[in-house]
Amino acid sequence: MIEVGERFTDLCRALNRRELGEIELYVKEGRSHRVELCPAGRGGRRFEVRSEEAGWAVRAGGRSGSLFACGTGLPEPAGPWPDARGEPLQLPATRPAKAAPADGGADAEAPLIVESEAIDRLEAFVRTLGRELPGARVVRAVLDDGLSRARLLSSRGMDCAQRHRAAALYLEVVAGGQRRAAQLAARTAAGFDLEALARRFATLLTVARDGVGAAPEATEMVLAPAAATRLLAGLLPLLVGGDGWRIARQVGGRPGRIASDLVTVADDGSLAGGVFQSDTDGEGVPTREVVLIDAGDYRQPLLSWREAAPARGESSGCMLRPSWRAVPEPGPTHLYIRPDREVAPADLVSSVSRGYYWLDVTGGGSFDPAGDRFELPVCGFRLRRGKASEPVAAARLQGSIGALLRGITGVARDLTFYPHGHLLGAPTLLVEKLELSAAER
Amino acid sequence: MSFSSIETLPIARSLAQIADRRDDLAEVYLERIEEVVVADDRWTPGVAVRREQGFAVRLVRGGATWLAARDGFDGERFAGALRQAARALPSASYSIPRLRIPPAGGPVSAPEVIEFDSLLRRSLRAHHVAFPLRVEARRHRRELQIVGTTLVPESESELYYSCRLETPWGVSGSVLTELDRAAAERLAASLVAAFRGSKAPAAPGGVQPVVLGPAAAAVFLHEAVAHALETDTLALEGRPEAAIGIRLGSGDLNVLDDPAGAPPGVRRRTDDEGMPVVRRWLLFAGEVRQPLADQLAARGSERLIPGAGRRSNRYFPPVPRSTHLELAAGAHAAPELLAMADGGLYLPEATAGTLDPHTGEFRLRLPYGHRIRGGKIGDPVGPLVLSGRVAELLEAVSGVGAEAELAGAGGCAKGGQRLAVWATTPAVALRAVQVSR
Repeated sequence: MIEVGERFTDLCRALNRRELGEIELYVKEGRSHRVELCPAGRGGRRFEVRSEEAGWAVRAGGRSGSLFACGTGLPEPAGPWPDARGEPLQLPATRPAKAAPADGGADAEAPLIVESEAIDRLEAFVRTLGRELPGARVVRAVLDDGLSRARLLSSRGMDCAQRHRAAALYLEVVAGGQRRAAQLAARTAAGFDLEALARRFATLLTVARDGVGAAPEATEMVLAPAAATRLLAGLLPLLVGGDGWRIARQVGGRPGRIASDLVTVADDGSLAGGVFQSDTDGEGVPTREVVLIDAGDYRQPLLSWREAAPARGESSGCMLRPSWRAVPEPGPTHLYIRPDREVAPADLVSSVSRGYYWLDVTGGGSFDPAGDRFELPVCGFRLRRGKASEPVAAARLQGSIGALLRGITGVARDLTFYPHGHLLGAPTLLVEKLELSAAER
Repeated sequence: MSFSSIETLPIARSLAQIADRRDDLAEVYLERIEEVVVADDRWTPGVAVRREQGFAVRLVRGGATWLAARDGFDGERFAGALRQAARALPSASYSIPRLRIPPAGGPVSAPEVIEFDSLLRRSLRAHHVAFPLRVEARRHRRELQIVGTTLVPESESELYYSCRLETPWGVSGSVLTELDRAAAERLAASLVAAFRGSKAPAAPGGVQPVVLGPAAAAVFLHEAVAHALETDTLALEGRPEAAIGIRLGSGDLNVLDDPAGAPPGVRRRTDDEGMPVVRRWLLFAGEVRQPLADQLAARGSERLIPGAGRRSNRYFPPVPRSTHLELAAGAHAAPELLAMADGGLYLPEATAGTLDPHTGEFRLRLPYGHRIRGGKIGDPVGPLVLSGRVAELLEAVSGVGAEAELAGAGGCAKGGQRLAVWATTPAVALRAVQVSR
């Protein structure tokens, strides 16, 4: 646990003199190790960055308003404190206080990846890709492994500790004039299977190179997790924040019914093994699983404790604080479509007599939950009698978001998380009668 | 904020211990950052302030770079970072310089940031329009000092502002040199035009002539010329020097990067590697003269000149980027440019541009435009996208305006690093470009 000594008491005295009674101190220390290879081009380049960070943040409020200040090291009672203005600060009550170090997972204190191992792993990706798809070039491969610990104290008696462990991977590859990039997250650098990723990139680039276009039609489609999580990202306005109720009414069919009964969507900051697994959120409020869509019925959007009372939904610890520099804001931690342990992805693919299997998206697409419309550029394979018959380089899924959610007829077991601003997870999905149009390659 | 009290000689001596091969490059980058944010957001307290300081030790050997970054300043941290950058054992002994730099102090005072929201709303009311608007205003201050083994340039400082505006039709961002009444009126006029554009009929698609106003031309040139001529981008396809002498665009294009000619708050004498900045002709009469290079690119080359190394903070190594682009003014008055593009579109502003360095495909997003009819600016049209291959777009330039204006080209993100970039450009006419919705 980070020791702050009498610093918090001294801060409270100094801020009380400015008539600020609601006070919160957050301190965080972290280490990270980033290795970046840029093998394409002249000679290739390699960067290794080791960072050690130590910072603090103070929120304080009173009748005159509120302030936020942050900096490196530990805060001095003298500030820097801007004048408080705007809305008063509301801090959560003491209920969830935890003095003992939080369990951020068994691997929270595992050593960071060393330079030679990181380079070996990234070079294995380069080699495997070269073998699977001759001519493909890795433009940039970045492996970032980090750990941190934090402590949160407040004038309402909060005193909790947090530990986090997270690794990020960015890969960018070109082949035959086509470029593909992917960003992934895991608890540690060892959580990435780089050889499997190389094979996946080779498949996607082969589809882009050899694939045909798609003719407009409405048919059955299988969405791999990479494509399904992008759909989930487009649905965030429906799933997070007080506006979700209104959007659900626009998207839904009969009252409360928003998706097929195979669809359950939840957010869970305490998800065991999750990248951001934590007992408490960025304000020290306990995290837990909150079901947002339950077997097709819209229950509620994800709500912080401040939003829950006026919106009459259940709250959870969902205030995100990715860094000591950030003001806490509500958002999903691990938001996912619940998988069906009994169904293999191959079962869904083999069940399609005539349709498509979309492996990934090829662009951002557009989502208008309020207008109940979406468009998403995808690539993958045409399916005939349950087998891939032809690669499809570019197609565009489009139509009504409500029809898409109600048309889900299969959910597989392969829940996979992708970082889309937030960490979103989905298994392979089978959707009936999704509209398809041609797209530019 | 000042690094004047720093004793650079012991630091340089320590660096010389780790740069023990002939071509090694070693340096320390020290920075202090202050950011003040005021936003009308339910989650953001009235005023938010961030004050941070730290440093990074960098060692470059051949094609490898090792960087060790720390928050705060002190000798122990410095010695630890030195060991990490040199990949030395903990027992390795390096001389520990005294690195006591007084913390940046003083009360936080930012009345211009606090008052900007009401200035902007007052300016909007003068246009007799109303729409939901969320304003986030920021003041950015940075001071940096580079210490090398043989080179210790003077410290540099930057002060500028940024503004993020959320409206029902989208989010836009601007970088500004001042946050005053004039800036509020400019932003209000831009918001009103975008509001009317959001209600306007869709832009006609297809290939047509266009005139880019100075603000849109700034984003266009930043993406199509500056990014295309960064040595790390050029290295993806071969030797960066090989680009010198290649014709990239119309003979009307004379584009340079001049950090010393940037607006006063962000004017630079040296880059983020401590190298003197140069008035660098990127394109002269449409021909590539001198790509944007940092020390890493220039070390092995007789033709590349360093001085364009930039870094967003201590956690990243420097990369070649532009600071302040200038497009040399042409001979055409505004009516002449409009006459050149009669029947096409006048596009005053751009919200974002992207360049795929592998394919040369370029896209410029514009929040609205106006039809050009009879050589005059006519009815507004809705959001649109201008696209094509960079070389074709630059070759399509048919005229350059006579009056250049300073425009913040915006916040530029590449390789995880976000930087403010600036430009001084006149309007530009393009004879035939692809426009889509």
